[in-house]
Amino acid sequence: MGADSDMAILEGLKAGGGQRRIFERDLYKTFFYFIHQGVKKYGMAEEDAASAYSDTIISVIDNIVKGSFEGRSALKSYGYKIFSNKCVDLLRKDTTNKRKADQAIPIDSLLYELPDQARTAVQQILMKEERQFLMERLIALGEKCRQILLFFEDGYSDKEIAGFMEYNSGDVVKTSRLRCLERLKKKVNVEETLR
Amino acid sequence: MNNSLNIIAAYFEGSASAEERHSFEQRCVNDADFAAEVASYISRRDVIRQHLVAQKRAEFALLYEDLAPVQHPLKPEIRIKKISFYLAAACMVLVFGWFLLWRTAQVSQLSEDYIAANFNTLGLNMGGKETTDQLQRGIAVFNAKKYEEAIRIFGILAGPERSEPEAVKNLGITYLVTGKYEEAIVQFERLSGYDLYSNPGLFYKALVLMKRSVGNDKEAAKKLLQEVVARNLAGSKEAGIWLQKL
Repeated sequence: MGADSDMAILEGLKAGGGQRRIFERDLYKTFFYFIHQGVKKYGMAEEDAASAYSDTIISVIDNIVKGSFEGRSALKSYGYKIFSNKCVDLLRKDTTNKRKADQAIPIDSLLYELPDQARTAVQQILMKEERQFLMERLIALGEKCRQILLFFEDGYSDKEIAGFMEYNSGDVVKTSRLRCLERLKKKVNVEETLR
Repeated sequence: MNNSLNIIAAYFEGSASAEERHSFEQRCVNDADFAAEVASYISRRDVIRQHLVAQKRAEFALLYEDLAPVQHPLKPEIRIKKISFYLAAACMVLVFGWFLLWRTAQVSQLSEDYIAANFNTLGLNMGGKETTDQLQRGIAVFNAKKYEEAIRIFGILAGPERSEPEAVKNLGITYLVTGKYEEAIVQFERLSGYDLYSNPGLFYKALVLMKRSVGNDKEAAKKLLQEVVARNLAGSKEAGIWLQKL
């Protein structure tokens, strides 16, 4: 894959809007052969290599959209580095049987954006939160609310979301979005008091 | 709206000034209530992110199905060398598996009977909208047992841009009948979040767990069925009967 193709995918992903999904799929197709390399190099099952690849593409998209990928290396090298790490993580998880990963704080948690002292203070409380319960509440929140939250989490701006979901402006989306987050919390609080 | 939420959102969305950021970080350390608010915010955002990643994985899984090459059979000599190993392994699996199968067979049978009776074909919807036409095409290919094509069509209609509840339901059913239980659960969870007059999302999720019957699936299915009965959701009649047998 050449610099021109890199550029087309990068620009397509950064441009956002409804077209972004097309470039996400293009990116997935472009390095699809990584899966085969993962099988050969790490002796993994194809299913596991495909899973590592899928997570790789999700990370690459996220880093491009959020501006963490600065374009210093080719997209292929960047992607392959992430893919190798994901494969190794997966193998380690299998060999050490660390199945607690689902309950632990995810590696891409916002928690890691906090400096050390603040992180420690927040982390102590965070460990007590029940993630599975929150997930169930998120699903029960209602389609529209959930969709706003998911679009924002996917890196779309409030203005873009206003376009997709026919809101008057980005400001209206922002207010609605924070209300949805608040509702998620309120729902949790109500359920907790009932337990 | 809670003012703390605005402050926390500004910090994590990058719109807080350097001074505000510093003040925020100090409050996390010195104010336990505020730290709890931050923890709650992070939990919610993390869970939304997990949900998003699950959706994207499901989308890429569809793409993988399209792109994955057809598996070539092994060369004959390799097959012969490995055949005794496979036979031994198969015997062990049969012996140990029989016991497990016996235990899960009853639960699995209930769901299999339901699937056979209800999901052999899907009913066609009436209507003239473009989405309805596509939905009908999806249903038609499902009924013709062309499941991969049905997944592709329902997948488009159930994507984030359109999110048709009927398509989400049919996509989940297609995953279920093709044995893709994880993906089926994702779709039925989504379906249960829609505000519908009659929503079978939770009942279908329980159905998938009963069909899969691994780990804590049976217990989880039981809880869901109890919820279906308590809330009188779609499927409550069957759920009530099944609960007596589980």
